[in-house]
Order: sequence, then C-alpha cells, then structure tokens
Amino acid sequence: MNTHILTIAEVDHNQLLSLLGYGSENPAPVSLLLRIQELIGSIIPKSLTALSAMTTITTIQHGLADTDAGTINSPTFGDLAVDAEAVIFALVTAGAEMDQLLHDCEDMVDAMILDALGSVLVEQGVEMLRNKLATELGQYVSLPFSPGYCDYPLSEQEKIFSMLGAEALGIHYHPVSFMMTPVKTISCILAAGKKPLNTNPCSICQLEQCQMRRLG
Amino acid sequence: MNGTLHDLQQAIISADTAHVDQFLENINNTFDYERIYNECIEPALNILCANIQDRKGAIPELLMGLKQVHRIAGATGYSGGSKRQEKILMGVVEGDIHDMGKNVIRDVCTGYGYHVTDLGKNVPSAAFVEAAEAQQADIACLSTMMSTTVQAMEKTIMQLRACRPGIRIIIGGAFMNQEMAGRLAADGYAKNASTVMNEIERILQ
Repeated sequence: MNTHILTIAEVDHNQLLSLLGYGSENPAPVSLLLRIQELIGSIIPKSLTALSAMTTITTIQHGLADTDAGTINSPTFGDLAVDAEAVIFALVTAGAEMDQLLHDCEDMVDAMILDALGSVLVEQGVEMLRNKLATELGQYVSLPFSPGYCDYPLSEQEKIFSMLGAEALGIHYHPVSFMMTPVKTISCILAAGKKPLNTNPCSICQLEQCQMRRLG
Repeated sequence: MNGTLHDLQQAIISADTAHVDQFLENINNTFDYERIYNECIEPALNILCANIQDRKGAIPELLMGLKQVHRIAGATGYSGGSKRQEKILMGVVEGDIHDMGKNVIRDVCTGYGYHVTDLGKNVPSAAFVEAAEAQQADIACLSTMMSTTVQAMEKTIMQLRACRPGIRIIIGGAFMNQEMAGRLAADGYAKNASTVMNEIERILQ
C-alpha cells in the first residue's frame, strides 16, 4: 500500500462553475467569481492524501475480473480489464480539514462554493493520482471506477477499504449506506496494463442516461 | 415610493448589498415587512427561481438574493414564519449526511415566509414523527443524495403518514424523481430549490 500527497496547483474553474450550475449560456456573476477567488486563495486546503494498492488480475471469468484480492463484481469493469494485468485500489481525500470548513461555514453561498470546491479538488486529485501511477508503472491506467456508479455495487467499498487499511488515515465508511467520511473522499479502482486499454469505462457502460457519463 | 420598491426588488435580484443598505437607511422603520414582502421580496424570489429554470441563473444567485431578504427581514423586525400558515418540517433521512440541498431548500422556504423546522441530517424516522406531532407539521420535505438510503426514506414516509394522515410529503435528492415520488407514496418531488415553491403550492391545492 502506498501513500501519496497530491498538491493541486490550480483549481479547475470550469468544473467548479459547472457544479455550481453555470455554463456558457448563464455565466456566473462577477461578485460570485470574486468570492470564489477569495475562498480558493485563503482557506481551501490544496494538498490531498491518497492511498493506492495494486493486485494482479488472475483471470477474467464469466465477464468478471478475478484478482488476488477477490472478484471485482462489475461486468463493465470485467470488459474494461480484459487486456489489463492489474487492478489498482485507491482512495483520495481532502481530509477532515475540508469537512470542518464545511461544518463551520454559516454563510450558505460560501458553503455551496466550498462544497463544490471540495468535490472538484478530489476529482482533480484522482486524475493526478492516475497520471502519477501511469508514469511510475510505465503502464496504461484506466479512468477511475467508483462503487455506486455503473454496475459496480456500493458494497464493493468494503473490498477497497480492506485492501488499503484506510481507517488508519481517518477515512471511514458507514456499514449500511457505505458513505465515507471525510465527505470529500473518492474511492475507486483503476485497471492497469502494458497493452493499450480502453481507458474509459463509460464507453462500454449500458447506463446511457447516467448523469455522470464521461464521453466526448 | 413605488420606484423605491422596484429598485429594492432589483437590488435583491442582483444581490446589491449597498443598495439594500441604502433602502434600509432611508425607510427608517417606516415600512412594514408585509408590504415589502408582497411588492419586492416574493416577486424577486420568483424571478430568481424562474432564472434558474430558464438557465439564465443558478442556485448561488438565489442564495445571494435570499441573504438580502434575511437582512431586510431582520432590519424590519420580521421574525419569520408568519407569512404562511402551513408549517414545514425538513431533514435528511437516516444514513445520509449530505445536507447542502436541504439547507438551500430551508432558506428558500424561510425566505418565502414559511415556518420551517429543520431537523438536520441523518435523521431517524422516529425523530421525524416526534417533530411532526409536536409541531403539527403540514408539510414534510425529505431529502437524500444516495440510493442506499431510499429504504430509510420509504420508512420515514410510512411512519409520517401513520402519525399525521393529512401531512403532505415532498422528496428531493440525486436519486429522486417524480416516478420515485409515486413509488414511495410521496405527494411531490422537488428537483431543486427553484421548483420547491411551485411543488408546495401544487400539493397544497
């Protein structure tokens, strides 16, 4: 198991504004943009903590990837991993500090900005981790695949946590809802291999109406 | 005077704090909140909600407008909850702590003059029932962002109906929709803060 410290150099403003409900047809007002800059510049933690652990894919049986850590219960991931050699289990968190900021915030506009900022930061952290792992391994690494999305059951959260021993870092999940604390945390698996992979699980997912679909 | 009220309405829409300050200084306690609400606040909030639905604005602008509304209410001595007779109870159901959407809905309902009891997040069904009876709640707004807590939502709805048969229930959250509202025997579904008032008015008819 490896621990990574990821430093976000620049927040993805387009993603942030999109999460807040803005786009090209309804640009954010200047006063909001200024407040976002103030919050980014003053109180947002820019360093994220990530954990990762890799396990070998032994076979693909009945469309599911069997690994040294057990079977990955997602046919879509099985399709994605058909040319992969390993599965990487990962967690990226903005930490308890971000939760505390959200908890202490009494201004609803600030709270909404902070909530969106936390989400954008961990999303960026996952992408940063993916690039880091690809470089370090010298392999292709797929886009992340999280429990609760596509056909990957939320109950698989348990497998990710048992692989990573995340509780030592203060990351927990609720045994019924599988919700994680700190709230701004992403758990995921990624396929890795020497052959070029179809790196985007969304391209083979059957949930065409999914709001989180990453295509185009 | 009408021009002043029109200017105030615009100041709420554009979240112009300086203009609202100027208004509050000028009126010097001579305006009653009732008139300001009817002629400025409700029309301004309606416009902000319509802007979201028409993709001319977004939720933060509604929140910025609501901040001005709360400042005006405070300065004119309005304590809240007396504009509408129906009492609203709200909370995030047990097992979920995502309360951002619920908090926005709470502020919108308060801004529109409803008496709101906010039970917070991760609320057991028994706590909803206890509060519904104690507050004699007319409307319950239940929220969850997760698919794993739909059962908690269903249980809460059933228990609320058992304790207060006339209560109207609105659900909201990422996995909720109109079809889910029907399946869970809720009266309505609010997609976001801009539609919750329309939905409340609809279910009260």
